Amino acid sequence: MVHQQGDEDFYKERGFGKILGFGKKPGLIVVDMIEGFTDPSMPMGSDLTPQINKVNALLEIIRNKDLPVFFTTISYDDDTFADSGLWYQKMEGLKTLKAGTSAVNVDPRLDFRYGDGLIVKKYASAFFGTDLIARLNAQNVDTVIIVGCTTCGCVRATAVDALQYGYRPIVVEDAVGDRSLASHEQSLIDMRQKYADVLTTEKIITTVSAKYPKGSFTA
Amino acid sequence: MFENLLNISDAAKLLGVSPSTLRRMEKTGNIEEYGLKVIYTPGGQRRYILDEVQQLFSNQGFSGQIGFGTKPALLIRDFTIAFTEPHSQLAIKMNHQITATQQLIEQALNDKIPIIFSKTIYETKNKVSRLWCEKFPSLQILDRESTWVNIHPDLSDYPYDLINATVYISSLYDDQVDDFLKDRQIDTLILAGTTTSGSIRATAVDALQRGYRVIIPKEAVGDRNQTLQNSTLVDLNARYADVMNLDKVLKGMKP
Repeated sequence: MVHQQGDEDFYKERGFGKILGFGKKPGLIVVDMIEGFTDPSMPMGSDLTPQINKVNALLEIIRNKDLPVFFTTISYDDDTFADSGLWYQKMEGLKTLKAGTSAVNVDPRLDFRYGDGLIVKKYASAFFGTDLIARLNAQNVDTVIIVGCTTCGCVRATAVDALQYGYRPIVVEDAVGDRSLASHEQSLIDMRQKYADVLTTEKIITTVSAKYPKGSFTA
Repeated sequence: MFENLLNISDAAKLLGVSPSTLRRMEKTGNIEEYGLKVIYTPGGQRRYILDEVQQLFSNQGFSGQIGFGTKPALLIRDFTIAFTEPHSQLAIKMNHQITATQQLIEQALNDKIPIIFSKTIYETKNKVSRLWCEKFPSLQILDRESTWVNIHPDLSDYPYDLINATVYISSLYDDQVDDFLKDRQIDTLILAGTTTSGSIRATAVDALQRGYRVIIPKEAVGDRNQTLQNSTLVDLNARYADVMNLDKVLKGMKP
């Protein structure tokens, strides 16, 4: 990791990687923790058990503070995958994400409850072609805590878009995962320097506990 | 970082190709298209990063090639003074990216392919601009009126069809660019510029989402170091764009 430390110093010298911080109201976005990605036997899957445990710990504190939770899934219902545009030509593995199959279901180990938002998306960003913005705005969310998979794919695309739509993105480093460790680490560095705050689950829990008093967000 | 390296015969075995194929792919510059990174030992032996080989080997569902459509446009991002002058906080070392971009421009002019120059600016009044600037305040130099946002002198004399200033990471967030592409029924975007891991990557993701074919000539995009450049091109080629040699792109642009 000598090399990466060097990169971080370079960025620091040039004034990158400042802290955006938490805003007035955070929401949690659980990106694509669906069986197609969390079941290692699936073509695009890998073992994300540690991340799932972290997400459950985050869900507990978020629910305790009455803050909103959104899950996302990728699901294609067109038999020819026309609803994936050109993407399936690039990533043939997307053909495993067929609507109605268990691959598109949120991993049952997660505490996914009735009333949580479920955003069905077709592409990488949770913002693209979905009603996520309307849902965030309706609940006055200005900060999005992002967890899930994959770090260099949909998590990263969602974090970059969150910033472009004016939300403060916070990516939880031990609650996001990728098949490729190299891509995972590089994406965390990129996001930390240029687009998002990158924090641990522990740090999120401490901050959310202290900063947002219980009951302050109940209608 | 230097654990789990494979020698050429093991890497070739895993991939089901011959060692000479791997050597040839490296020579022709096609190796990144296969999601591979080659490094050299101090003794000059090739080593392949296992992670990437495994990813390629175990997940066949990546890195398909989409190819050119029928109506391409060339989009150049941020080859401005701020990103190219060595004393700028935002500067990156450009080796041959500017020359490669000139070749793309000449080809585009020759074949009547529209050319867009897209440049990042900072606007105090814009919320997204202010937020992004909180993350890295060096962006503040990119005032619309400042010389920092002027096009690099080697690229400034070309007749661009559109010069667009944007506060966004993706060049397509701006309605002006989006309308320009739709009006001309563009179906393929060729991306040049900087940084590969920044605006080029974000624009590629966004373009694919909007239904455009994305072509990235790897000699024409640049980043702050080679590791970052290579790993970004691997990700992009696996998920969102066709990463190609400049020569192949120039050929593909011909009608």
